[in-house]
Amino acid sequence: MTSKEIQGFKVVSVVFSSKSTTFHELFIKEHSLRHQEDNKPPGRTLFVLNIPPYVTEENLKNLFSPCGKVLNVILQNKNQFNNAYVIFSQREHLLKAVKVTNLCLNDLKSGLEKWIDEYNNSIEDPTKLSNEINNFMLRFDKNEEAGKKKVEEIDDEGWTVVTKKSRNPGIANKESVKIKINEKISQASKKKELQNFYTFQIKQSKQKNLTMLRKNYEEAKKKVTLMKSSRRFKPY
Amino acid sequence: MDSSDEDITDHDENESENEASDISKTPVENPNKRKHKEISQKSKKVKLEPISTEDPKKSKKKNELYKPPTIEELNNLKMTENLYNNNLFRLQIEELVKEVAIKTKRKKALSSWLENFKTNIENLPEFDDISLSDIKIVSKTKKSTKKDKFINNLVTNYQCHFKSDQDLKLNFLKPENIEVFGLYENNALAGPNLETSINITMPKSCFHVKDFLNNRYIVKRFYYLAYIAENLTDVHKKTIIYHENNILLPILLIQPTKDEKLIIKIHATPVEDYFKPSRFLPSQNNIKQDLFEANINDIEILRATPTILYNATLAHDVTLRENSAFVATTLHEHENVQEGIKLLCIWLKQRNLDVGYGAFTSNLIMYFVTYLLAKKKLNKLMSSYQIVRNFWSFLATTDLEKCPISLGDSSENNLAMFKQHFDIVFLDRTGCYNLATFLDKNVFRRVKQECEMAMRHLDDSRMESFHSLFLTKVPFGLQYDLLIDLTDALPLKDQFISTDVEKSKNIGYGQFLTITQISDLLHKGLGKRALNIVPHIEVKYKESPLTKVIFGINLNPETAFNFIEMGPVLNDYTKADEFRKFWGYLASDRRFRDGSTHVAVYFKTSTIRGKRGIIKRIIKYLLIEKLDIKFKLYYDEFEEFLLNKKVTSPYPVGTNEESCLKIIKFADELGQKLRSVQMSLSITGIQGLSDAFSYSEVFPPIAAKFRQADNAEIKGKNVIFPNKKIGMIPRLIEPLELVLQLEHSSKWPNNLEAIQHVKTSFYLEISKMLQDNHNIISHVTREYLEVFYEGLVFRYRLFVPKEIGLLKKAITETGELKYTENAKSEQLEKSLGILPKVNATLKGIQLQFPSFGPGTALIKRWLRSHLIDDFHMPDIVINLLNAALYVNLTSFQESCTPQIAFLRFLKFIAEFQWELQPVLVNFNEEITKEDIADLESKFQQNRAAVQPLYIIMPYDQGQSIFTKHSPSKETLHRVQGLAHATLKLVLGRIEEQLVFDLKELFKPNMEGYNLLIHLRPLLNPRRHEQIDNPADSKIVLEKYEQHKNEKIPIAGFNPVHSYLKALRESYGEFAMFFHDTYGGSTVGVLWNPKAKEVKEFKVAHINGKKLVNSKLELNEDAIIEDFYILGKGIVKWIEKK
Repeated sequence: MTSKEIQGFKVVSVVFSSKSTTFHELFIKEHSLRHQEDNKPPGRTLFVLNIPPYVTEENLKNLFSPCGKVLNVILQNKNQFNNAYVIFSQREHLLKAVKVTNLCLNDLKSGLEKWIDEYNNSIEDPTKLSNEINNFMLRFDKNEEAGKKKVEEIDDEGWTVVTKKSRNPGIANKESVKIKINEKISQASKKKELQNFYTFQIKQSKQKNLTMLRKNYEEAKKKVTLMKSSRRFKPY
Repeated sequence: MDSSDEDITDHDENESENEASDISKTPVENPNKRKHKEISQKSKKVKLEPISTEDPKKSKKKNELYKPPTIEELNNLKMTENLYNNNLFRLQIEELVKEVAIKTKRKKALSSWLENFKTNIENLPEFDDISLSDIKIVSKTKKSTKKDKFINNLVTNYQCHFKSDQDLKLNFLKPENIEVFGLYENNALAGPNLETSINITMPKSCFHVKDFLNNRYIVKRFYYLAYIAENLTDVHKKTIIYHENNILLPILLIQPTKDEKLIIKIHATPVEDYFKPSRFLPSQNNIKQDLFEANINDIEILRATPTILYNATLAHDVTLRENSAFVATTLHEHENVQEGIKLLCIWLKQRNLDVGYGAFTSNLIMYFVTYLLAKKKLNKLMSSYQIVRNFWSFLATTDLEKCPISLGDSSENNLAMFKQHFDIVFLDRTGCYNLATFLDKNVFRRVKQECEMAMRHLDDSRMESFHSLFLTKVPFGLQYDLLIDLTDALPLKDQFISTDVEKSKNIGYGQFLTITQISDLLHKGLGKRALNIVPHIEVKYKESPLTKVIFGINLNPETAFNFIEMGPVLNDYTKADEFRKFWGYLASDRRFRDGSTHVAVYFKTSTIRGKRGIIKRIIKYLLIEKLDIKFKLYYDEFEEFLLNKKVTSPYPVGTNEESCLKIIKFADELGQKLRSVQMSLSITGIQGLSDAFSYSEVFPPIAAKFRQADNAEIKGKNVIFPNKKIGMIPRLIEPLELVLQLEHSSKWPNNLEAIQHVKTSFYLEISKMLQDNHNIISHVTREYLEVFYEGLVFRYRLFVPKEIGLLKKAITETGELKYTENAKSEQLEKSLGILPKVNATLKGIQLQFPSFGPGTALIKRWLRSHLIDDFHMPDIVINLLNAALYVNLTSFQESCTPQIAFLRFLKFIAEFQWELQPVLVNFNEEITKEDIADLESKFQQNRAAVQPLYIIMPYDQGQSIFTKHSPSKETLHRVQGLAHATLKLVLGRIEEQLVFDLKELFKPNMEGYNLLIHLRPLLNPRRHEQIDNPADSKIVLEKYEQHKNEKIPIAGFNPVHSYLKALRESYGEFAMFFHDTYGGSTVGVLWNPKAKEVKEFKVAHINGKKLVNSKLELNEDAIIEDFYILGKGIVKWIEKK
């Protein structure tokens, strides 16, 4: 098989069982970006595209292990065609990986076997579960407590931090609160107005009424045109 | 009115030319001034602003809305408000009337033909002095005269099925007069077919004084028509038919040209004043001999009894001219009234109540409207809408069966005399002819019902009312809960012993007498169970004219399925005897709880399906055992598809109701136990989420003993799968989903994860209490609490409203706290917040309308069998759509059986215009009219943005939350196509007697898929639910009994379901997957055409592709192999097409 290459990507064909008659094409490339992230160290990270949905991180590790030791695999999304970053322990491994043209994966767990495992694992020991929860809640409560304390603290120089918990907490910075306030203001200003005082107001209200009638009529007409266009008026 | 109409159109034209040309008729008279102005404006525009034509138009549009109104416009707008229901209704009427306008081409063809006809008649050859006995083949000789030829033609072309007592002298003379009459002549005919009637007056010299006796007139009239027909040259087609299916009233039907839509009916009537109309009053006898072979024993009785139907037929002819003239003068120049008649005719025709013997004909509509007009109940100034409305209200509120009416001024005595003989009396101008003679009272009651319904529609001024009143066809087969087709038994034998008086009264209509008697028998047998029993009878001109007899029966939902038919008290010997005689071996003497003893019929049954079967048993008893008539019944054939034939339950089961009842009962029991559990927060509400709680699940789980295999692997309290290769998956035990609500508390943590943990700890607590206090086993996962109770598996989830809030919470850049919807919060709210409410309401609907649940189940069964599963069309959406039919009751009465509910749903979905309108399911009228209008206009405005199918219902603030993701447009089109095809076949079965196996309607079409994934049937836990079930062993379930060491069975494990889910999640963008939920063993796959496109190399396009010549192509083979990999173990093979 001759290797294919395009726009810096190398095409690697992968089979997922020894019985396979066909293969997926993975597109691989050394990861290089101007922004460097800690978990994707430069020089040792391989960028892999077009990974079939059922492939897990574990699978990928195994897949690339022939090239060298894989430290970590970062999969982007689940249950769809995937991108991944494969981080090798040494640059040589990466260089070796880039030269590979086909790979084979054998340890795939899928289908019935997988679902049965899932079902069996969904049944948990109640005591274990309850312990876990208790532990979590203890930790959580502790954290909350700690957070509260922090807030109430008086700092070294004797300043007290003003918090929401004081007597007059002020207005909360919430969207709903803002909307309510605006509504109140507009209503208050409406109350101040006289509705039917000036002639022009009466005239205007009449005009408004007429406009409404016309608008209704227009709307109805539009609907009818729509219906007409779908030949709704043929009775039989 | 007309002038104001023009004003509107004018105003349109100014506004935008396109729209105006679309919608309005061109004004007949245009004020010149304005036209001029318009033209100058236009030219100005072109001169000044040649580049942009958009802007001035826009500003103009604004001006249009605010310009000062003309008086006409104001009047017009006001009139719409006062005289019509609303704008939309008015516009729709206008459109419809335009649509049914008759083409000028046709009109011209008619008038030219008529002229031709008149001159033709002028030149008719005349033959006199032919005796009846002369009419036989005259052997051809060289000298054969014109007369001989004529006679020969008469014999060969026209068969007279009428007999008279003497050898009549026939004079074939030119008619005295020709008159055109009928709906078309009064400008009240709704096209596009043009049909008019001609009344030809036979001259005096054709008759003899006593010709009204013994069929003489009828025979003469027949030959006269034949004489006219024979001399009509230059017509495309001429046949003899019966006027309004009246078998003593043949007329000539002519189709002058090849145009099938132009039809002329020729009546022949005697010259005026020749016969006295009073001769035909229903007190007279005009037949002295048994000419109709009615087997009358005593001819004296015949001579003494009035021959009412025969008389009426003759009276029709004698009074035709006067009545037509009266109608014509009354309706003259009443355009709105004429329009009203057109609308009414369309309305009735859509309901199919205007055809057949005994029907409510369009002529009757015309007479009724004339009556109302003459009685000043209608007037010239009314709009057509008001005409229609008043007509409906008149029929709906007047009890015509009690109070006779008259077009002329008949005396009370006369009316009373008619009333003795006829059910409905509507006398004509002369007072000698009952216009409603042949109107069947059962048909009339149906029409009355329809009127009531129409009134309801008008008052509920929603958009569809017009559509369902005038534009939707309501096929006969869907109007009734039950149909009895007697066509196979034709011609009917005399099964009844009728008296000579009865026979004489109905002489000439003997077969119809039998039909009435059958109808009476059905009435008597079904009693209060039936609301109405409506005959549909068709005839054709031939020796035995009946061609079709069907009874449509609407059941009374409250009493139809009673299992006791209560008879009289035992002491009442004569009545009790009569009852016993009627019910034969079915009757028995019984003592009731209150101590009374009655003769009664008890129908033993233990299922709801069995209760529906009572109707069938009664009808079979009446028609087979009592009458021995062949018949076909359309009633419950489809229920078969709801039966689970492979699984036998420990309790009696018919369709799904019994299992649902059991489930609800046990869920309530368990619920009470849960409520009594002592916890820091008490449980305040428990509601069902599964379809079984609204009775709409096709195969609800069965409460039964769970048989555990000896070598079953066990983990804690659960059975799990053993750690080896599995060849067969056990029958699916579907867990029942419920939601728990706790009392309100402010102590829930402010953290999602913490809430979830607290929830799980609640589950654990409940689980422990159930075990300790009630000895009920359960197990807990992070998501739910699973309880095994009475042989059923219940899954409870806690609903904490705060969770939704936390999911929605987000902080904007300005530090403002904001709550926005996202997929997760929506999902949670939908499934645990809204769904229980909907489900509870649906259960209410089921209680009100017992056919809802099984009907919905049948819909699901049908749709799923065509490989459209929950993913494409969610269950809840089907539930809501069907509920809409029950809540709105638009075109039909309430459905009493699952079958008719299913068929009506098919019609609804096949015709529903989801692009144009939302579905409204206003449970308990919870949404106000204003809100509905608001939502509808919003829907209209951003149609493109909202989901294809939009359901407005009370619990989701008009968001149509259940249809957000599916069904898609494609699915809707597909479902509509399927529904249309299915319905056509089902109706064909009734209307054209098509014969096929109903299973065919539930067989999917496997053509057209790109791939078929064949699954291993033994690994499908629902395999026993298939419609075409291969020989598989039966599963017999035993009654549940609690025992020690009980374990929770494997529940909710469905690898097929998991497979489909995985396929859709992973490959949803490349292909669509279709599968029959109920045991289907094949998955149909369609490639998404977009995914198959060849693309340039780009990282965004790379998924699932392979590189071919530097371009990306779908890696089909690899993906197909992925399908194998994903379904490892359950996929047998994949077929490529």
